[in-house]
Amino acid sequence: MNLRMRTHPLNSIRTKFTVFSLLIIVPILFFFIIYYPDQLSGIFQQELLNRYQEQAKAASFGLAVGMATEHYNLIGEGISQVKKNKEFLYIIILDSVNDVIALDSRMEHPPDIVSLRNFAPIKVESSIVRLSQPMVYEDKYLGVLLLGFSSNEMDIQLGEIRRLSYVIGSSCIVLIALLIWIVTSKLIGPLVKIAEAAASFSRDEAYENIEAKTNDEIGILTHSFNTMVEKLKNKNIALLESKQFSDDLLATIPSALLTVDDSFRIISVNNSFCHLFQMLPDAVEGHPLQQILEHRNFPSEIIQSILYGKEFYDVEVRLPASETLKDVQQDDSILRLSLTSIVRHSMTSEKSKTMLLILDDITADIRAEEEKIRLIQELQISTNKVKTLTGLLPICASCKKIRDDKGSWNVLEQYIHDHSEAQFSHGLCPECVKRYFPDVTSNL
Amino acid sequence: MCYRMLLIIIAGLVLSSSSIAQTVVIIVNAENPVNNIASDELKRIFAGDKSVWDEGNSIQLVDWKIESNVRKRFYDTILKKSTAVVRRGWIQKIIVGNIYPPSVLPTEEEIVNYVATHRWAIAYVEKKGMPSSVKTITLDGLMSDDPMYQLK
Repeated sequence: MNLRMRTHPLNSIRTKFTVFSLLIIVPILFFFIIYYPDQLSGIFQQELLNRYQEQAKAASFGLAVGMATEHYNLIGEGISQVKKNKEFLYIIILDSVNDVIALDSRMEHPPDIVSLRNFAPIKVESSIVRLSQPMVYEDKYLGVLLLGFSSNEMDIQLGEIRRLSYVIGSSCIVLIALLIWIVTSKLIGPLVKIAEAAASFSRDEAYENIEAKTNDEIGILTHSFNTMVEKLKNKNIALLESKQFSDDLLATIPSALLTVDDSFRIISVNNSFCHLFQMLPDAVEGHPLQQILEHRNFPSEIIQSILYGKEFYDVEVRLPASETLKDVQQDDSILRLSLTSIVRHSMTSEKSKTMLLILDDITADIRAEEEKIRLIQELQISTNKVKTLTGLLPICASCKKIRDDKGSWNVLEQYIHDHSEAQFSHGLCPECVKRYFPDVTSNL
Repeated sequence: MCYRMLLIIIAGLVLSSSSIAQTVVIIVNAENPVNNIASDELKRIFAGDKSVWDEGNSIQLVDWKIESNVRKRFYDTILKKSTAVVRRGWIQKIIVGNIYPPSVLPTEEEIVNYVATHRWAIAYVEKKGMPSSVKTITLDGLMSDDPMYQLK
């Protein structure tokens, strides 16, 4: 998710929640809008039909009595009540043998009387409500009254109920949508603030603590988010300081460092590497490691070991004299490097790894070591040649012979000759000359 | 023998009762200017085909009960239709339009009283003593004692 992008209004939780709620509520509302008008119109229709039936009953009773007793006023009253109904369409009076006694119709075409006989007590057709009411007086069947009413009133009423339902339903939908929007704004508002704060924090923009106004889950989330951001800030500072320290360290460390990714492309090098290999970072970073090493005459077995991802420590690598390294190889000698290879696995993925190569120029060290060894060897040879007399020597006070380790008494000259590099040349000192050769000394 | 005699007596009584039926006269309110009515007009009035007097006033019809012999005689003589047919006609007229159907009264006294109290009423009764508030009108210009009078 790209947090740099602001959430599109159509993709916001608020919109989704509102749409989701409406998806549930609207069908229910539509169900009520569609279903209830029919139910209401059904009730209304039944009420109307009952009213029609009552009128038919009253008229038939009036007719029956009027016909039986010739109280024409009763007939007139019943009929006039029926005809007062603005939906009245026709009235037909049949006698007991279904012959037409009387007929009045407001219809364009007179009703088909034959089809109306044996009619159901009430029947609702497409546009006509038809009623059939027997006329009985003192248990004597006098005939049947057939009435027809237009269903316009029902249709109009149904239309009005439907229109009213649509208006109420639509208003309810709008109100509910508005209500949901407001409620979700109240509920999700803090989440939106947290999301915006997280986005700005990810962009390293200034972050101000979000105020937690409630103690519910959102309040806990807000508080936790503030704490998390504070900790992240502190860790970020520590990380920056650590990075600065390691950057300083890498910049000043005499060892040449080189990191490569898992595809063996060089990620970074330090100053010592650039100095050692006489290359600028831009010429190295991003290039294949193999290419650089081959260019620097690394032995192929070393390159292969590295490319196989092997770890090794302090392996000496000898680079033959090279034109490109002439500044380093001042005397055209072999450049000796100590190479350490360390493989570092990513903390997030075991498959992802980086390799750290540490290179140290040990040419001078080896040379110094070799010189030291040579000097030591020379010294040892010299030492072997020097025989030094040390310690107490048991010597005869008279003859001056010296007793050796084996207990033998040796002449002084022989002993010294055997135990030192001293050589003797014999002669006489003046006193001995005087003593042994007095004649010689008197002539002198 | 006795049985035959009894039949003869009963038949004689029946014949005498029919023969003693009194003349039917047409009566209107004493204030009604009409003094004569044509039988055809009378037929139209009682069939419901005429509902207003020539002066424009609604005719207030009074009729006998359906089982009345007077009515039967009147319908047979003047309307020349059965009471059932005439009644159907009245019902048809009632449901079709605004007319004043006849008031059916059970006794001659009530009929006479009705005519006496309703200025534009008309009825037919057997010729007996009439109150001064009603008057008998001629039918087709004939008095009830005229041999040509239809409702004898």
